[in-house]
Amino acid sequence: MSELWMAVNVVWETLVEHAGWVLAYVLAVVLALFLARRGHWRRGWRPAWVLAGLAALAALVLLPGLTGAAWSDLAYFVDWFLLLALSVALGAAVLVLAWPLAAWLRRPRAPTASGISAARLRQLR
Amino acid sequence: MNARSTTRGPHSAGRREWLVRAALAGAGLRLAGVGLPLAGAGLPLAVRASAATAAPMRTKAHIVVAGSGAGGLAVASRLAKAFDGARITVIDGKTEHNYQPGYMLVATGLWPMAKVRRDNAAFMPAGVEWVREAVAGFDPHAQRVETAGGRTIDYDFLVVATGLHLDYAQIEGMDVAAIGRNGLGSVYAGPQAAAATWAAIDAFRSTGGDAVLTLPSTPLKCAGAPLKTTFLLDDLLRRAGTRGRTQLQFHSALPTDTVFGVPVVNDAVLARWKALDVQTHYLSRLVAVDPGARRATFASPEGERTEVPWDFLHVVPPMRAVDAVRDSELAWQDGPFAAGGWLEVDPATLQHRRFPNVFGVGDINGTPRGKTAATVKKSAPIVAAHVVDAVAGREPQLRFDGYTSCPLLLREGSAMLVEFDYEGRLTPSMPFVDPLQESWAAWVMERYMLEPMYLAMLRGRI
Repeated sequence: MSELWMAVNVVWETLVEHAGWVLAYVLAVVLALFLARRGHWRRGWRPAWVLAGLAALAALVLLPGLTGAAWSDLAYFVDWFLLLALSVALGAAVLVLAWPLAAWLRRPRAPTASGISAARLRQLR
Repeated sequence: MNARSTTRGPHSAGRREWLVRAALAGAGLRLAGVGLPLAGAGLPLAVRASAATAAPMRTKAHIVVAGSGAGGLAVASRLAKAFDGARITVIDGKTEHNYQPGYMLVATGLWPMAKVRRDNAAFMPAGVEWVREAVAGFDPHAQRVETAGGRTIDYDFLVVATGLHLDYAQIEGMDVAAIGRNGLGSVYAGPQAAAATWAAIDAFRSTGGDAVLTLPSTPLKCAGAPLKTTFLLDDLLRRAGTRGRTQLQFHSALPTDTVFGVPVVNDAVLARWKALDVQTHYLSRLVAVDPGARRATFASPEGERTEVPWDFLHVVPPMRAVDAVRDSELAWQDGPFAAGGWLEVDPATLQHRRFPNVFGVGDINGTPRGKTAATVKKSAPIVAAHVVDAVAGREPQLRFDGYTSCPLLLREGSAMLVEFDYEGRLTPSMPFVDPLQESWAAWVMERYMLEPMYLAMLRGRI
């Protein structure tokens, strides 16, 4: 269990070290949640997942190079496990931001004078 | 017990003190078999959680920590949490804290120098008195530390964490200020020297030529650094396309076929060097340099001297105890550690063998192995726990196995994460991972994760 405590500390110190970026991300998520308070969360789910998946895929492809390594350096099963874990973590971070944003973008349109949204009216016609 | 005053005797050693000691022990106990490097093994979460909420031990003892490097700060941080009412004094004149494991990354152009430089005050635990003077001497009979400014500071308990002395003076003609010029490099002397070494390597890799790397026979801090330098230099030359024009020679002052103290790691390194065409010389000790002429002089044990030209020279200085320890009664009086003046501690308890109110942590310890940040990570909780034991009038309860870790960088993007103990036995934190396997994960750990671990260690959290 000390390893878990160690991992928590590593993450914490890393976050503190990059406090500026972390704060920017947190503010972006808060803003997205604020915008999405009347959003359509169910409609935002799929595009958010697609975006998160793309981000994870990009991480999977780019991370070795970004750390100065070549693909041939990933020669051990631990390397692939770490790469997958980091990619999933990045994808999760993107999902947390993208879902509320997507929900906001796919929010129900403002109601018309009849009280029915324009989109719904178009469907009815 | 030499302690002048122990304010609470064994009668106070109850559950609360046990919890404090358990908290301090942290990674020191080997109750679990898996973990991250620098972790060693640790306490179950339940014990740790209990310890985190344990009340500090009440005492009015004066505990002096001599030195504020990795060991000094890690112990001081834990002691500050462990005691209520104790007077804790840290003595050190330096105001800058350097992340020394990062020097290698600076010297090979992977990190900027600023990344290894921090303000020491940021890590000084709250409630601790910081005497901003260098330690000049110890009088363990009088229980007194002398500072460079002429002050004398009495103690009840002492933790010696002075670090070691880089003895460049043993190399005739060597001038630390000359590092970076005339192809002269040395990663050990500090952040500026590491950055200057990168300047020398950067210039050298564009041309290639004669590269000479050295290894003394004394105990070394981060004994893997001379090997890493060799591996990374080879990699940089290959990437620059100049390896074919370069003779890479490694001069080891150690016996034949020895460049590292752990046989299985030593063999793995030599096998890789053979494949990389690194030429090795043994029983060859650097004794003089002439930077202007770019010539290094090596001596054999018989005194035979050989001059070697260089286009790039990496100097690893002989190392010994700092004068304050070496010239005091705290140093080993005989045996293999007496020549270097290292602190005479019991390797298992890190308690001084003749002055039981004195403990040692970090590079200064005269122990068979272990002059790395990983050693501090594992031993600082044990030392702090033993100070608590001493204050409570108990014998030291824990045992240190000499754990050391060395992420052996092989090239940019790959490393081996070797962990071993006093006996040179490999002690991988993750038993299912082969420590001799080249790994990108080990590289990522060295470059991105060890520094956060180190910072948490300084703050006494791990």
